[in-house]
Amino acid sequence: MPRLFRALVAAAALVACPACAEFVVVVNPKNPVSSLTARQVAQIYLGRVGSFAGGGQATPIDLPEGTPLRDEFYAKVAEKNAGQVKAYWSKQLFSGNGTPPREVASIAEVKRAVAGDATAIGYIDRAALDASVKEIFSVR
Amino acid sequence: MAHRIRAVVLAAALAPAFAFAQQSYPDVSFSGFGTLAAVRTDTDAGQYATSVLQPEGARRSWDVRPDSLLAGQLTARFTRDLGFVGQLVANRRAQDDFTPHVEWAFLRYAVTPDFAVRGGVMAVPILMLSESRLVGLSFPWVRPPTAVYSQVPITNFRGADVVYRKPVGDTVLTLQPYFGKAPTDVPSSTGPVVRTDLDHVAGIAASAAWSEWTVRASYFQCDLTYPGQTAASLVSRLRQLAPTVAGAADLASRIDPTHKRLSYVAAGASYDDGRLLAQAEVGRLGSSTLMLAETNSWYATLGYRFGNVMPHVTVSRTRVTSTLTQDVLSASGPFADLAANIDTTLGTTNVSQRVVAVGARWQVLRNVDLKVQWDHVQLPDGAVGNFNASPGFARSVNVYSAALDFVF
Repeated sequence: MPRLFRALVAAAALVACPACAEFVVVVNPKNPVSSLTARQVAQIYLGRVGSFAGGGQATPIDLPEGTPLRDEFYAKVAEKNAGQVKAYWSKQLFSGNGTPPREVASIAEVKRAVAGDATAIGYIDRAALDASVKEIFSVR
Repeated sequence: MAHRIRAVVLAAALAPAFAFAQQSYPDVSFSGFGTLAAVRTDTDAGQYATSVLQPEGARRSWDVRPDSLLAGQLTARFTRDLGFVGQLVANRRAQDDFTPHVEWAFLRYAVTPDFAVRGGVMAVPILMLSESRLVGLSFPWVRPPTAVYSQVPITNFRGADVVYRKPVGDTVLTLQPYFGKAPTDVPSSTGPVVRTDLDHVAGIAASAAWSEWTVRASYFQCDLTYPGQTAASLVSRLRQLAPTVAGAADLASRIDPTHKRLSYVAAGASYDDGRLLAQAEVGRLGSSTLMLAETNSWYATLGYRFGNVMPHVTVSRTRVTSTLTQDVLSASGPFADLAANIDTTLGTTNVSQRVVAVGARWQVLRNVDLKVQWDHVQLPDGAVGNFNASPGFARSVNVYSAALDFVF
């Protein structure tokens, strides 16, 4: 039953977001980190750690709330829907324990932010991937 | 939520080389949260307060005061490593009913990304939801289970702490030692609000988070001085009797809430896989004054998300473990009135209760939820639980609540 439920959710996600079925998590090319697990990416985006595993400071860059790729990213990496992410950050922010990742308006701006900051990490459509950033994780 | 009011002009003036995609400082954001809630019970004999810090409480008619609140928070970063958090909250408290008060105001300096020191007015990290107990959107109940949470009513302290995080594999460990003081206003049924001193506050919280699990264990202690009139008059009459009545001096010092040690030990665990929520906490309150009963308390919650609706059930209990009567003065002797006064006063500290709560949270929007909850409270002999009432006012009470939570 849970497996069926999961399959239905995944199918629904594909229908809702046909163009963003594949995304990549990227860092600055100068960043020595070469790959991360989904869980490590989630811990950075949920503010549970402030640095890369075995590396320096991590500055996560987010897309605005309501962006389909953002919802897809959190569902795949952190297994949380938009409301759960909101509830999580409400708890963190209003207990003085941290602030949600900085948001930029578009995938192009995520790329620009990551290309211009050695500590930054972002997620973009695979189609937008180029040499200005370095892939460290991908989801199909 | 981060409704950012970037000081763009200021930032541009301070940082001429300000690159479009880069973080700029100061970075100031304003956000807030609130709850509009109504609660009623099925009795007028006692008043349901969600904390001992609230005067009065709900009866048979719907009351919006116990759980409703509005809060605004300013979060500022002056540099990459130095920040400030200020939070104003308007809710029901002993003194300032719905007049905004400073809930947090602290500076945070990150020595490394995972090691920070903080100073100012901050949350006391005791139970799993101690820091977020006012943020309704972040939990499933109308209020965190009162059988446990009302045993630790203070929400903030003045002092300093250190937050150290250490990732170990997929687990993140957090260690947070703190010290300071926590002056707290306590309402009194017989007179004005009593300014209670919690001095020499010291504690440590250890947390771990891995995949779906979060656990926390903590220890807290302080030096309590409660200058209430009732306690003071009992103590002074007992001290007058000390030369003639054996045990009176000892009873006086056991009651006297002046420079008494309080301690709290807590442990909790939470499992949340996105659909199933299971959470439980246990706590023990230690007290060296009879004016505050020693308790063991726990709750366990199970919830399941069906889309945007999460029904949940919670079982909780508070059990007083210290003595609630005196055996120094006879109930029929020459000091029968004093004996009765003492027993009545100690009786009102009997917060024992068993609660079964059933509720549901409906996530209406990303930042808005609606909740309903029914608490069936059973009170053992002479216990008052969370009620402002005379001992023995009821054996069981139903509490009905509804809430709308939001963040902005």
